[in-house]
Amino acid sequence: MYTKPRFNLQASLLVAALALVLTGCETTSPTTGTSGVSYGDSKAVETVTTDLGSTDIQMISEKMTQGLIQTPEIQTLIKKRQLLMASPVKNKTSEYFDTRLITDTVLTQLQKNGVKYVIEGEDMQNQTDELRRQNQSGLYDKSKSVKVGKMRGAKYRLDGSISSIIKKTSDLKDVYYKMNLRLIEIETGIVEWSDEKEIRKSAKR
Amino acid sequence: MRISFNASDRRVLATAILAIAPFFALAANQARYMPDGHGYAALTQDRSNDIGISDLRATIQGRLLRVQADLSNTSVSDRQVYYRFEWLDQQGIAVWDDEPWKPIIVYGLNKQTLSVSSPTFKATRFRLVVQSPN
Repeated sequence: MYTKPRFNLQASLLVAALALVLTGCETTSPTTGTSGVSYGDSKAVETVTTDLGSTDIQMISEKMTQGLIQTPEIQTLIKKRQLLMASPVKNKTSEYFDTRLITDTVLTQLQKNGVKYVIEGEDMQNQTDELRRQNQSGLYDKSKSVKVGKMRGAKYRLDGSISSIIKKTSDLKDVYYKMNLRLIEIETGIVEWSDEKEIRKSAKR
Repeated sequence: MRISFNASDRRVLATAILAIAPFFALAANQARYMPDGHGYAALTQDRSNDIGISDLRATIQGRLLRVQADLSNTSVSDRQVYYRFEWLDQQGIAVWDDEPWKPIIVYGLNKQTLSVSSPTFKATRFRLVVQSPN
């Protein structure tokens, strides 16, 4: 004799709840290795020490880019396809860090808005080496090599400095950073724009 | 088919709801939204609800989007909050890389104004995200 299956509410609800919980707990991790290394958020606020850190560099670069992009000089420079360059930012703090971290980020963010910039400093050596290699080594087809004497100079340059004041007591360390950046017209030496970013960091010792 | 709930069924139903409740609670965190013509602010905070976005203003000047947001602190103690902007085009597509989270102190019983300009000419809309942890 056929018996109609009885709907078992208790069992159904328990199975549904268990399935939901297990689905939530299920993980598939495409990682390998057991050394405890993990990746973090590169945009997270870094508070490991009071030394200049990633968050400080990012905040400084962001503020300078936002300030520069508003200036009429930069907007004209974009329209007329004039050129910008960045002189090395002076590190007047007691810490070592590469100040190109700041200027490279500012230049990259400006370039995304249409600003053209020329290289200088360390990159210039690679540039002149390549020009010489193509023109003087005798290894290259002269008719297809790039020409010497065609490099273009910048109309404006970025210059600046970063300084710090450190105060310590037996139980507190306070660090104040100030970054200054200026936009200078190279031909005249006139400072067309400048801005500052201040950062205060404190730590209990 | 008619489903009838006896006392035992109700107990099981209650147990099942309790088991899955934390998942729904996690999904519905304490986010509040404040709209503006060019975008909106989203605030996620702890249970104290001390931090609020009391005003949000945005305008386009010189092809750049300028935004001002007032953060208010209703508690007597200073609060550290974190914020960042997302810059979007008219279709809501992000036109700039993720910004870093930035810390800011909102002093007790005070307001702090965030005043920023978009880092790109492509931005016409924004989303301000504010995190107010413990």
